[in-house]
Amino acid sequence: MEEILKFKNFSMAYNTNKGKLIAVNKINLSIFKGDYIAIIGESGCGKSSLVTGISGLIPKNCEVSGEIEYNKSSIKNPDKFLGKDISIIMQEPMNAFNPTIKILKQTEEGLKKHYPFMTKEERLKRMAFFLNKFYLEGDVLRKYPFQLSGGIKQRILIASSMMLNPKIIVADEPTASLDLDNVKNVLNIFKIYAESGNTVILITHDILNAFKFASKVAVMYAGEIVEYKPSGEMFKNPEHPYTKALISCLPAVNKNKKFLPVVDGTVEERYFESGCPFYNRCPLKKEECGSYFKEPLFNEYFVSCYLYKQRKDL
Amino acid sequence: MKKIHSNNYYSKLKKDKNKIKKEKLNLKLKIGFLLLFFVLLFVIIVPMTDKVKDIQYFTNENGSSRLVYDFPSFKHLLGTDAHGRDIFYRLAFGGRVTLAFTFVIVLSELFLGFIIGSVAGFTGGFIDRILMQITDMFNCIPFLPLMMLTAGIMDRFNPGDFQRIVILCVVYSVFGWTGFARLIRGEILNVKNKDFIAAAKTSGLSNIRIVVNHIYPVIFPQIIAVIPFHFARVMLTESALGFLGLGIRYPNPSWGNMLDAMRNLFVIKNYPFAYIPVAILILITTSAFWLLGEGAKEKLQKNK
Amino acid sequence: MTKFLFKRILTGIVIIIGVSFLQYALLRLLPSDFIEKQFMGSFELSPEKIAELKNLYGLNNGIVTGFALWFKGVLKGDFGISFTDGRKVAEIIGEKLPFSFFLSLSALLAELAFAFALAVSSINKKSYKSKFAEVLTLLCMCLPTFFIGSVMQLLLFSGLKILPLSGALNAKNYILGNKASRIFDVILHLLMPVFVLIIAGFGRYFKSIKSNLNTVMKERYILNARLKGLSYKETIKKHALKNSITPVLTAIGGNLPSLFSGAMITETLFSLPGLGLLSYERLMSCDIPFVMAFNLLITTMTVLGSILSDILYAVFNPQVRF
Repeated sequence: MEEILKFKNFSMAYNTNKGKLIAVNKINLSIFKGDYIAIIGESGCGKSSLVTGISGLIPKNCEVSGEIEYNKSSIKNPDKFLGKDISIIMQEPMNAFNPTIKILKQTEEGLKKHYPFMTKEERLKRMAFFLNKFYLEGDVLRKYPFQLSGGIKQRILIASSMMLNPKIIVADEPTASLDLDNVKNVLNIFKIYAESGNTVILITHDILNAFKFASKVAVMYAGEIVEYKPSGEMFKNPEHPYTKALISCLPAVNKNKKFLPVVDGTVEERYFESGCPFYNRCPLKKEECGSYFKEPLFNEYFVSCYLYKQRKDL
Repeated sequence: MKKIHSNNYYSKLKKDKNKIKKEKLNLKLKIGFLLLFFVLLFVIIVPMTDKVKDIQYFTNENGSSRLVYDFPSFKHLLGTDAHGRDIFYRLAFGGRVTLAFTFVIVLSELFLGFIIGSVAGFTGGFIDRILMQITDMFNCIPFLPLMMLTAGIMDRFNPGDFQRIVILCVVYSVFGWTGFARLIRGEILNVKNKDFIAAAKTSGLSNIRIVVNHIYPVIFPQIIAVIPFHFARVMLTESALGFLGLGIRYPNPSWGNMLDAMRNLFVIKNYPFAYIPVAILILITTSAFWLLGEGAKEKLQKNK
Repeated sequence: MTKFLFKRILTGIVIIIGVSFLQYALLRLLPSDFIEKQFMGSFELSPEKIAELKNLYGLNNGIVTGFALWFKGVLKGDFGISFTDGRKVAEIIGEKLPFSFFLSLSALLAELAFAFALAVSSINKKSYKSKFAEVLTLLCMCLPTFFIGSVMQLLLFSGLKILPLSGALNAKNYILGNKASRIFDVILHLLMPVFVLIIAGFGRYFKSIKSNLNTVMKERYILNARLKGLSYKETIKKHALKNSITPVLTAIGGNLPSLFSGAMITETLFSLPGLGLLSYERLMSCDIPFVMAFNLLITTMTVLGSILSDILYAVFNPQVRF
């Protein structure tokens, strides 16, 4: 399988008043063509920062170290690949559109830029086709953004990204404002897209659906990826303590219990570079976990925990 | 392996706390205050040496006449102007007049605008509409033609010096409060509809209490950010009027007054000391006010 | 929408009439009037002569009658005859107005363009270039207009001798030259005044455009536009500019009256044959018909200007329309 995206020791740190806030800490990951990956984790664990890092539009108070390689060459100039090769769907649909321009013109922009030889009718046809896929009517194009609800806008965003036929889709919480029917539809469409040779990276809170639709799952905590496995395996045998805690919270697992367990506490802000990030909340922690150095692992599936450091079969 | 975990985290936090800079005034405010301080120093202290005679009379004390457009020398620090009056002392006395004039005008405009704007903003409905109509009407009156008319009237009437200044002040302020009134009314309307006012009302506070304790503190910063800019504008208008001969007149010195030397190209070319120091002083004072305004705006944005 | 416009126009008319009446009353209530100014200095006049002159100039009527007469005349299109030189006021203003309008309009457009360009180049940057732009704006805003004008005159006329000092046309060219050389001459004469106006005026636009641009660039849709693949320049052109133009629109509406009243100071300094210089001469002598017509013009333009601002605001910001 072809490797399409590779994170090499990728970290992002924001300069704040209290010091350097490490949002993403030394991620090493290889993503291949045709993957449908879900990245799950709590709020504040750095998922959106990772998306910003992939896009290349890094804010000025952020320091980036390490590399992201796309097609074996490192990403330097965001304008060259954004939209056509890597398409990113951002999180908030409410403010995602320019309030003074009609939707038609805004969704056309991407098509005009990347497929300049399409005529107006072809563009309209393509837009209508993709909007219909997401259960949207064509006359939504004639409206202004403030006349539409959040769910509709989110589906328009997803549709306009898919229209450009990118090789990688990175979707940051694409199902946040959608009802269940649409959630299933969107994730299914992503699955079909992935099966036709493209890559989909899904970032979500919705753990159950992530396991249901994605082929591989990565669990992120405090800027690090703590476990990366195929979804079926991870659901049956979670290894990292955090993954175990997450999965044990799902209603599907706790079918007969009255109260669902929760993972205590929240993700802390991180100012230090080494040591296991889950140290303070881990039920299985040991003395050495506090100073655990994570080695770069390019194996396809890994668990980043001191307890499993010695395992040779990974 | 070294144990870098918990100790590092907490000790790093402590170190970083000391690094947090607590700046109360940003750079613009500092420079603005500094410049203003120096100008005020000049304007207050120099006239105290009681050289009034130097700026008003054309002859020296012993009766000899003075040179016109004399170059700077030890006797006249910045030379003399078209009538033989010492420019340096005229700058100081004129500064007093100009600054006091500006100050009084801005204050009275603020006062008028505050009252009308507050009443309009709070009562709303019919009174609000009428007051806004009146404000619009006053807004429509063009300023320069009005000042020309005033100067024309004063020409005919010949009031005393002080009365002339008072009339100018009144005319300025009566037709200049519209900006403040609009601003205050707009801010009050913005705040009135916010939730915390409704909360205060339901918790039983009397209306006056609400106004004083809740609404005004929110509005004040916005207004304070605008006032220095207004100062600068009034100062520049005053100098423009002085140039045209419509503002403060002989024998009262004022910075605008002194700039009428610029009406003559010969003077501009050959006697730069007649107008450049005045222009520089006006520039410094106006920039000081402008910087104060900008600094206040920046501070407000940071707090938001 | 049309109902809103209609209401505004109605209130506008009320304002115009009210302000005109105020003006007229003020002018009539003045202790000195035109006759005294013009004649008392040089001639000795007997009371009968004064009464006769007053009758001639229509200064004997009551205030309300006088205003009603004037207003009736205006509705017919007759703005009266100027006291100063006996010509029709409408003619006088009509002669000089196009020139002032042209001068002020070109200066305004150039100011806006310059302010925009400067603001776009200093978005969100803390480099030396943007700090320099700020200091430059500060200097330009804090100097009186005539000072800048005089310095320009000194530099470019006396010093470098490139541009002519004042007036709008060289007499020789007017008589002898052909049309092309006349046009070129006028442009040459107008370069300095327009330049002075631009320098004195771009500051306030720069400030408001810059702060609006900074706010707009932080919005999510700018980021989304870039994620679709648009380059930095394209996003600014297609999204940021349109959304940050609102203060400019309000400013244009507010500046409409000054487009018509002429830049009094600049015209005086450069002796340009525009409305500003003319009004400077006439207003000092309480020339009632002229003053009333002039004020009517400016008041109408102010009202129109604010209506124009509202219309433009609705055009650029669709949320207002619904």
